[in-house]
Amino acid sequence: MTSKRSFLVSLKENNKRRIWVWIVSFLTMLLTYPGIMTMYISRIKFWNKDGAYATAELYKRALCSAVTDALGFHKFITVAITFLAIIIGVQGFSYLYSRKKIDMYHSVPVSAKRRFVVIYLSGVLTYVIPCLISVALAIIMAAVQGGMSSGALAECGLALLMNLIYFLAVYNMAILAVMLTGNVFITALAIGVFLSIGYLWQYFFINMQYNFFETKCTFFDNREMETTLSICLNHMEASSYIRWLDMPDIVKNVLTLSGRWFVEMLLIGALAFFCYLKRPSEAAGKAIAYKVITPFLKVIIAPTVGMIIYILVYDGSYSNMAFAIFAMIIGTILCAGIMEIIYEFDMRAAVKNLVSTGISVVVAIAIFSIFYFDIFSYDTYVPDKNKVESIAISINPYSNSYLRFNDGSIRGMGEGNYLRDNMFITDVEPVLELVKNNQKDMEDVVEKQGVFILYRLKSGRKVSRQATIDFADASNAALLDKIMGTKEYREGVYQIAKNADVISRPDATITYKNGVVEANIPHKESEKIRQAWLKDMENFNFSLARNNLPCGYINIFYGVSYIRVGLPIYENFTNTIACLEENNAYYPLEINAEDVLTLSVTNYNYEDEPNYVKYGFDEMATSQTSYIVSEDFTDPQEIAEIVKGLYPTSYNYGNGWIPADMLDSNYRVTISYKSEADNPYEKGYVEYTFISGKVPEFVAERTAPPAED
Amino acid sequence: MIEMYNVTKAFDSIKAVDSVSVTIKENTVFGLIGTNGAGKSTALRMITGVFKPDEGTIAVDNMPVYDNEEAKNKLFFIADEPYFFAGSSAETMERYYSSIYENFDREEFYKYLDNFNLDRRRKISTFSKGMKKQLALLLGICSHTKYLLCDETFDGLDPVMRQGVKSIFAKEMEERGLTPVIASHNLRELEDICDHVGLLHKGGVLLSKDLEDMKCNIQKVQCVFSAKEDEDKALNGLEVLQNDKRGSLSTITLRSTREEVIAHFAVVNTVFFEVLPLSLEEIFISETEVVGYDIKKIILG
Repeated sequence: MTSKRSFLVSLKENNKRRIWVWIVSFLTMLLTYPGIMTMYISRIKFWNKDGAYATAELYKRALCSAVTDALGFHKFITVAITFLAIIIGVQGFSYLYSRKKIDMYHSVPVSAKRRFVVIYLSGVLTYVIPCLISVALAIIMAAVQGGMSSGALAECGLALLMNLIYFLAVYNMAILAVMLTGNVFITALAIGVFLSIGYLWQYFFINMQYNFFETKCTFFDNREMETTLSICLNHMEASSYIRWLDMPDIVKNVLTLSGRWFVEMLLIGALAFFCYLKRPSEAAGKAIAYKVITPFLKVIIAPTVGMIIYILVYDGSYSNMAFAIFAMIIGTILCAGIMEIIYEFDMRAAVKNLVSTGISVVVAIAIFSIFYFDIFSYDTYVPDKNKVESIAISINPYSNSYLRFNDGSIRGMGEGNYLRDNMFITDVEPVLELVKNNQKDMEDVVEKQGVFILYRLKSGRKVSRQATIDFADASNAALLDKIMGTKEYREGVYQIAKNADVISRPDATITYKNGVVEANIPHKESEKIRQAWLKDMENFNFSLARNNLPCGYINIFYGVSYIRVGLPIYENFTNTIACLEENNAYYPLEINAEDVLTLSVTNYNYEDEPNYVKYGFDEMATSQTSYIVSEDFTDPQEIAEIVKGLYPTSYNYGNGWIPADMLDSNYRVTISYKSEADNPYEKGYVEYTFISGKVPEFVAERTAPPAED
Repeated sequence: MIEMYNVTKAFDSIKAVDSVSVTIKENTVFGLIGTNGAGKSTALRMITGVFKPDEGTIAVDNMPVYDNEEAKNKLFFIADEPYFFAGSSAETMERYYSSIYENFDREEFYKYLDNFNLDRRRKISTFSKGMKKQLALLLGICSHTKYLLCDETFDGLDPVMRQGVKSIFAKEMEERGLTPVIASHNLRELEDICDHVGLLHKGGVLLSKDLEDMKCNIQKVQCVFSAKEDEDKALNGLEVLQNDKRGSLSTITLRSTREEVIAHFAVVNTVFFEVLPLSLEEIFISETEVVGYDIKKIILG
């Protein structure tokens, strides 16, 4: 015999008692969708009145973009959904806090399973129905105002899917918090712990790795990786970056994240359901519903708090480790005591269960020791070559620009992200050898350079490390030649090798620059120049970059986005130079002395050794003291002598590879050209320095510091 | 029939109910007596499936009750502080319970509501404590469950209402075999209602007996004997539970039937002799003193 209630009647009865939640949900969703969208559209209309959009098409595009932003992915949605999921989840099962309500609900002939399902589904409906109505309303409003597009609709659909799964995950989390606790105050604390503890762990581990591991590398990580364990921050992060991606990438990201959250949602939901079935009714009003879990919670939370205190004190005290460890232990003990007080609502309980408090301290110290003693050999990790499938490596001492093309717009992307997805070096031995060769004390090495390595293991795991390489070491140079000489490296590091759009887009301005002149390259020649440069790059390796200075650059500039891509040209890049010459765009790296009006030389006269000064209890190195002397030169003969030894410093593509002493860092030279000069000299501020050994004596003398008495 | 066998329930280190075994027969009014903290409410909550016993078994008509819809369909629990939905009226609560209990009699409910002068549309939050208890009782009665478990429900009801409820109980027991189970800390509240009484103390059962049996087996006699020999002769062969003397007037409590007592006293000379009715309280005092408890302290405070 079962209850005569049909499921729908049960749902209806349940929803009668949550009218206020429906109202809150409707208001939140109306604000989130039609509200935000109206705000965005108003902004576009205001700008349009100011003439920001030259054509009706541009105005329409801006409207559609605003609608997409409002209905798709934005951070406010995370706040709104999180708020609703918590309110709905807690309200639905809040009767468990009240003995009076439990007496009624648990004595009537309704099974626990059925009661759970009815309350759970009512909660889901409380979110879904207001959400869908609000979105529908927003879509109608957008369509009426001419801002609706298929792209906005698709993005809206994907966002709704992702947000629903996110809602369910947080909703389940809130329900689990209710199941584990006995009053709303402790539930709020539990939700706070659930939402933040993952991030706190990541914050701690990342900071500890930075503090103790020299090879810690986040170069290849997504920003969202740091928030993976906190579903709330993860969604917020995702909502902010997904909107900038192409549709295929949006779909990929949404499905990946939704899949992950779906699994989390199922696990948390199953645990919440299990806890509901097992929850003793007498838990109402208590802090924790299951006494058996209290010591475990303590051993999880107290060391976490202690470790976070360690990081904060360590950073705040300028790396005073002893003090930070002391603070960590005290923090762990205090947190354990506070938890006992909360468990029993009794101040005297702070000193109860000292065994679990002691275990918490031991756990905190043990975790600290893992980092301090590098127990898992993090810093000396080099994978077995047979276990590595491919490697991505960033050796560049300067940063390349990488572009993301999205729906007509261009945005920059991080080098690490690009290399992670595009560089697959399968000849892994030189990289592994390079890393092993340089696992030594580098303190006295002058020409050291950090490189970032991503090992893709055959197991599917990805491990990234930073290594410091001695650029001046000949064996390293040979290995670097091998690595940089591969096609996989070139194609992985130069986006133009894989994507002709980088240079061929109609909005790209292509010029040749060498720090002296700047000459336009016809856009129609873009593919030809690309092919020529790629052909020349086949001969590019570490030794070439190390021993030569570039003689110029192909400069690709996207004016609207203020993004610039530079392709270095060396003197042996004959194909590129020939192509430039064909288009009258090649100029040798020479300054015509006759074109120079004045030449100003500043000699910083750096001392060789840095000065040390007392700072607190420590001695700190200050910048090298200098005596600055500036001198203007107008004599044509002197100018002719000076320009022979100059090299532009304004663009540093390639400068980072060369030995530190190839250019003289003491000098800065600026030039004013005569107005009648023929060469297309670069406009704006261009600065030069001397190639080492090419400083004319008269310059050195006239810019030397005055002799001391 | 509700059977509790060796049931134990503890909250942390405190045993609220300790190895209790009680049988509640059908179609009787069962009184569960005990001081505050004796374990009455916990016992009722276990019987109604709100609490799960740590040990022992509870069966309602041979069905386990915890999380069992079928067993719970036979029970209605009125807690010591009955819960009504926020902002609800009698009508709202009727709609809820009639959607839960398959035999809920709406017509009867509104008839009783009128008889008890309770406004069906008035917010329950404006009701007095007594009115709320009346409403809870009416909801329970009209749910037409076989068992109606009331926790301190009669405390605070005025005599007229008590009489009204008593009449309804009698009618429902006769018509459909209702079995009310009433928990109270006050013996006097239950005296005129119960057929069977269980006495709980410190989580355990001191006593569980049929009231009629108790009443039939214990007699109170007031008499003045002519001589000491008459007294000895009259009481010879009878189990004397108590014998108070005030001057020549003896008040004697005996474990025996009325007929047997009269027969014993008929053969001796008495100046005055009368068999008096015993109150429930007196019966309990007598019964529990035998087993070494001072019932006045337990029940009457």
